[in-house]
Amino acid sequence: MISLQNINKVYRTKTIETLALNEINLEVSEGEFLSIMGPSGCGKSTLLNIIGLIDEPSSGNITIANQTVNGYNSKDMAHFRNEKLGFIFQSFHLINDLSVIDNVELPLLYRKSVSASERRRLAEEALLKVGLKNRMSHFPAQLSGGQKQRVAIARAIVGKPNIILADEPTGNLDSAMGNEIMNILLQLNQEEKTTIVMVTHDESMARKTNRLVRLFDGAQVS
Amino acid sequence: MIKHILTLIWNKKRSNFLLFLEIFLAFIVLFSVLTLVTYNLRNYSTPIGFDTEDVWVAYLEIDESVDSLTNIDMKRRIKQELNAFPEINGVGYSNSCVPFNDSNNAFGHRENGFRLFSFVIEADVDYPEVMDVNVVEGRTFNESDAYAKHTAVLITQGLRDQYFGDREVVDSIYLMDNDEPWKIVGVIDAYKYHGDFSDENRVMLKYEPQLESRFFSALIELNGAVGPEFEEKVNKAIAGVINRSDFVIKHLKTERELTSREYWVPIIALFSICGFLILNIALGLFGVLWYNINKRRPEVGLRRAIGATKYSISSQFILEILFVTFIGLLVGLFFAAQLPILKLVDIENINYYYAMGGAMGIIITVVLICSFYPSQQAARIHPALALHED
Amino acid sequence: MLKNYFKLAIKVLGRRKFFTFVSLFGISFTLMILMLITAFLQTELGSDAPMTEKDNLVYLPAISIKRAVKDTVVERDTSYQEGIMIVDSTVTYPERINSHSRSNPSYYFVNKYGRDVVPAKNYSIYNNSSYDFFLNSKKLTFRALLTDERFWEIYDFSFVEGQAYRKTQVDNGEAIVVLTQKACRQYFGQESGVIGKEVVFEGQTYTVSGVIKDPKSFHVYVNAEAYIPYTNLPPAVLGGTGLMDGFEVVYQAHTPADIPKIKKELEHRANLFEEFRDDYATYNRLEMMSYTFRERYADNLYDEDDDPAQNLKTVQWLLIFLLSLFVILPVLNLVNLNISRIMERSSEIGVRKAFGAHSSNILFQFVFENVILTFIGGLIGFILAIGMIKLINESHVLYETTLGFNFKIFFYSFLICLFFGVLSGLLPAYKMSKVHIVNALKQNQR
Repeated sequence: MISLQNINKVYRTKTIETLALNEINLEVSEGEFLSIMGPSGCGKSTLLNIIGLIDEPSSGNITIANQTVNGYNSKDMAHFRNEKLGFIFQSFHLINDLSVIDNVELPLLYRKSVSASERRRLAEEALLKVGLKNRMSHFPAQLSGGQKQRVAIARAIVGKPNIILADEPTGNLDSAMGNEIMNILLQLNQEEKTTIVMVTHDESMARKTNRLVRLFDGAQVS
Repeated sequence: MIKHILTLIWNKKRSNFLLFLEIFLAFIVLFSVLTLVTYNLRNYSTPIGFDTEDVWVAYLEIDESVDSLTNIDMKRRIKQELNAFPEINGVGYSNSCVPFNDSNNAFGHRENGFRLFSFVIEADVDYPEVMDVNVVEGRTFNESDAYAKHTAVLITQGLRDQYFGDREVVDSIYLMDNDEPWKIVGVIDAYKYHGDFSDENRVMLKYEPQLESRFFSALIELNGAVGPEFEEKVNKAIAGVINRSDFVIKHLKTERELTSREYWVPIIALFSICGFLILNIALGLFGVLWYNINKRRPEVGLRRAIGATKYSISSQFILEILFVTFIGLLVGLFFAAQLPILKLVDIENINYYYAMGGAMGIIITVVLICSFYPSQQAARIHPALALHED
Repeated sequence: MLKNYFKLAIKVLGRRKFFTFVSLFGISFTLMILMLITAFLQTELGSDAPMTEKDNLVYLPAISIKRAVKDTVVERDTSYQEGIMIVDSTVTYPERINSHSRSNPSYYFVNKYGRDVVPAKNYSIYNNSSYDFFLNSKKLTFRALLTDERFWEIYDFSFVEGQAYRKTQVDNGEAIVVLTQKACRQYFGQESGVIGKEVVFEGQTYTVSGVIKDPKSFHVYVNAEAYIPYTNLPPAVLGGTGLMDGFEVVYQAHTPADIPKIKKELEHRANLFEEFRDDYATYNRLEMMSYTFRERYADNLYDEDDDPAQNLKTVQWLLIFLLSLFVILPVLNLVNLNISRIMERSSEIGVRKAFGAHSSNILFQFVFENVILTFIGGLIGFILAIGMIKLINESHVLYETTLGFNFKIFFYSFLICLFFGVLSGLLPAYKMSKVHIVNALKQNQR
């Protein structure tokens, strides 16, 4: 499903070069739930961003869902993200001025030929899966952290993506809420066979997934 | 400290650029408007030089068929009949160059060995008294001028100051319009016949009894306010003499007000528009500063943590914004200074300096007011809280 | 999609009340003033009745006579050839205008030189005059235009009652008059039902033959209180042989393209003019000063240049310069505010991009939001403008001119709003649409 070959990422400023990723090779198969761990600044978020096509590697090849995405222009990448990928962030990144249902509908807005009623139906379906259908006309400010993250998951799955990319989804939550979110993700992985790549700090969360990759100073150590 | 602030401004030059541009343009607009307003108000503050209260003007025409002797007699009879009314103080004749009516008659040359340019108002012997001009030197017209060898003129103080320098003026003869020798008999303080806002101080009254001219105007000075019934009597009296009634009588006081209004209305309109622009900029500035300072809470927290006082925090923000303002003003001043240097518009330089000072004063005041509250707000930020947020 | 943006825009505006207030204040006031200016220009220079033909009109309000003298200038060029001095002299005769006089032409002049100018479709000759008279112990001043019958063909006056005078009536010198409603109200105390009644000017009695609506704009060469056949003028005026008196001619071209040809023909006739006699014997040049409607208007404001077309250009550029300065400041202010406002929403932009929004989507969204803001401001400005127009008309600040409000002004106002909205939203939106997703998402959400 995901194939990374010899990925390097260098950040350059006028004076210094920082090697964020060093020769990363990674294969993720369809339906797999992979977690990435490592200390702060080891490059795990950068790796996730590269897989998510919101950052570009300095060199290396990326194949996602059987498509080689090197050389895509920004419009192609936007289109690809919209169709194939779903994102979950540590700080939720919900739009405060939109209601829950409008937040969930968001990815479908950028997809052509989805009617308003169809968008509504799909968004309700996604909210049902995360158990928040009764909150759909609330605004993010009225929700708890766990509920916010569940809305974010609904938003990530509403477009039926092949891959979900989660950047510390439980990082801002207490352990009870974190477990709740983790259960939803596991359920998605098992029932819908969605491929999930998750970056986390938490060993206990990582242990629940199929495979664990550790990074240290931009290099894969296990 | 100052170097530190300059570094900060330089590092944020892109976000400061818009602010700079706004200050610069605001200065240009304010400078232009204030120049115009200063110029006009300075003109307004000088005396007009004649009386308009209860003075009427009638624009008259005598038929082409009337011979010159009858013409002369008609003019004598108009004065005679009008002066017979107790309500009328006096009547003077002029050509169509009457105050506030936009007519001009001027000459200019260097035939006397120095440049001389003047507007000429024709006036008969009664005119100066009817218009109540102030003679500051010499005398006004009298009966002897009718037989004098040289045409008599009264010049304004402004004309004298501008061209005559130390030369003898009163009772001196100079070449004037058409290179004819005219004799200056007196100096009057001013004659702003284009209205209160006019800057024209180069005017002379030329003795001209209007004996044979077909077109002339009669200036009528009244004892006090009268009603339209009396105006009808005057109208009939004149019509009875010249045998036509297609003329109008205008009230100089009304004409003066109408002329002034043509200046007041744009001045007030410009002022309101400017006031709105300034208020608009002030509010915008306030909003942007307030937002920017909130965005820099961590920076403020850090500064406070390493020992900056509240005072130094607020003065830092105020100084930052003042520096950008000064740069905008400096560039603005550079452009504004071209006007007095290149002399593009013919007005006194002092007007520009007033306008520059005024525009700078207003902008700096507005900036200070707008930056005061947000920077106080910044000074009140608690270091521990601010640092924690990041 | 648009509905979604719209909901969001309203929500955002509601949350940031201070920013919204400042933005709306600036927008509504700026747009109000722009609308007022539009209404003024439309009233003064638009093609509302009676000026429906304004683009086809050429005026001949003045002739200018000049005394040109030739100076003799001798230039000597001295050189030595083989020790012998050689003097080369050239004589030139540059022309200098010694004196000039400018005024309205006389009936004699326009009758002889101003008629049947090819390729004009129509023309009208007229004169203007004023009368004072006293009614019920009140003084009234009426301006009168003494015209031929073609005046009514060129201008599109709307008659409340009665009709214009016809050719036969003009030829017979009938003592009839067309009045405006305002004049009727002042003279008779009623605005209609006055056909056949009599008015007295200059001791002469005229019968009212028609009443016209008061025009909204005021141009002294079109509008007056009373219109009278010019044949009522005294024989001395119509039979004189002087060149200058109070007459004017207006020519109506078939199309605006014919206007230069009419001007050319007038210039040609002026060049052929030779009747310099009596008072004008010492003059030797004559110019016919012709203006289009706009040139004549601009010439009133600025007449430094001899060429009316040049004066019109100067006035136009000055107006454009002042207006753009006036628009740029509020736009800059709004751009500044918008940049601050949009920065707050970088997380939103990041999310949208992550879920597949392209830069152009983001750009469109923020410009759209700004256009909505502008239209709310425009609406407030529109209401303010209507109020101001009422105030201006009631206070007679513009004298006889009555600012009107019509669909055209509404349409122009709409365009102004759109332009303003796009202009002030574009730069901040562009800036934000270019922000890299990773950076946008890094900003802490507060």
